[in-house]
Amino acid sequence: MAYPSVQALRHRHAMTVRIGPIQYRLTSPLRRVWAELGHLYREYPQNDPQHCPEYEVAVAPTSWWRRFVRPQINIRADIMGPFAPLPEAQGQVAFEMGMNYQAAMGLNRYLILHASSVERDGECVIFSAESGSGKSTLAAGLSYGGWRLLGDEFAFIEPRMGLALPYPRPISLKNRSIDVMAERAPADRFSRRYHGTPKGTLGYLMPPPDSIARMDEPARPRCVVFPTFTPGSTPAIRLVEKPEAHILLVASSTNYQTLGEAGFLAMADLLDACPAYEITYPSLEAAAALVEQMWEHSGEIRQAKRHG
Amino acid sequence: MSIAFQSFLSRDCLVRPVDDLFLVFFRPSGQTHMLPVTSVALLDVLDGNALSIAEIPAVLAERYGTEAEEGVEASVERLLRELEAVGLVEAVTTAGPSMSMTALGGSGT
Repeated sequence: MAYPSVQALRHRHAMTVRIGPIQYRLTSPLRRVWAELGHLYREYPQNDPQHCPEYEVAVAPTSWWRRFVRPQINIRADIMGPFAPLPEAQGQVAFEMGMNYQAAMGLNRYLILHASSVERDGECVIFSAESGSGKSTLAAGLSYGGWRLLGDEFAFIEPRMGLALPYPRPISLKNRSIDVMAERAPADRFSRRYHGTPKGTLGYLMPPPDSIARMDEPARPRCVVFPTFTPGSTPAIRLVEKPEAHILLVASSTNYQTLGEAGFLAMADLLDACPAYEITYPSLEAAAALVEQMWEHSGEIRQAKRHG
Repeated sequence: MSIAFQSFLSRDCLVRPVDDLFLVFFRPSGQTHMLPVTSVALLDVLDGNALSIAEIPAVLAERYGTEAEEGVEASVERLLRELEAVGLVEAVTTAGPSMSMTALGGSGT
């Protein structure tokens, strides 16, 4: 019987991967974790010598013996957060958490909103909501229904031009949302399911190929939406007053305070340019119809503004 | 000696209207405040210009073409104290008449 050498055990897989404006360096010594990561990011630009990695995220065993006994992993990253150890079987979840945290806490050249967003004709809809409100599922459903996914977790607003930059990471779907999207997206674009995570069962859905291929094309924000998925509800839209929208968006930003004056101006410009809506919807189909209504309405508002 | 209030609106603040309110970013604290038009008008008349509570209603009326209402000082003082609490206005002690004469080149006592 051949045993792995000490050198082989110490080997760390490493790659750089670029998602929109961020180049990550990802490492792990764990073969299974690495295989899943490679599968999920197979269509993203990798190991591009033109770009320096901005953040490193490593997923590694918590100790030498926990590699073999009840395998457990830790996240190690440039910006360390309150990461709890996870079972090795959730290595991909650990990578995603670590990558999210680096963007949320470190990327201060953009105004960051905790929001998903989709694009059409060069303009985008920003869905701002807390975790669990359905914004990822909504963005996933729309992106597999003709829209381009800009991002399911964060909207990056470039402060000088006010453009939203794509950050089309694999979409994080939770619990029943995985089944909802399994009916709408090809099976080969899903990761396996990760059970028993801090957020329940998680699954990752690769964005449509076009969303990944066009990750360098920014979009101009057209409207902001605060969505709430409520089973059995009647679909409804409410125009949100700008002061209320400001409070909600500031609360959703991970770096508004940090950016100071630049954040204030970027947020004020965003609100100036975009009407804000609150929607309640019982299904993806209902939400898609509401989004079309808001798209039309926000276009009319902008036309009216242009004509004084 | 008397108390007056002043702001540094043009030096320390960025102001953007949102519907009927105003967003005011205060550089020294890095905080954003959402203020009604009356508060922004107060900051405006006090911008680099220390005024007593008694003087403010007349200056506001002149600046904005409104009529100074009687008994408005209490409301002005309440607003000033709120703005002072977040640093948007400062209370300053102004000199009495004799000191003013000194400043104007008078003999003083």
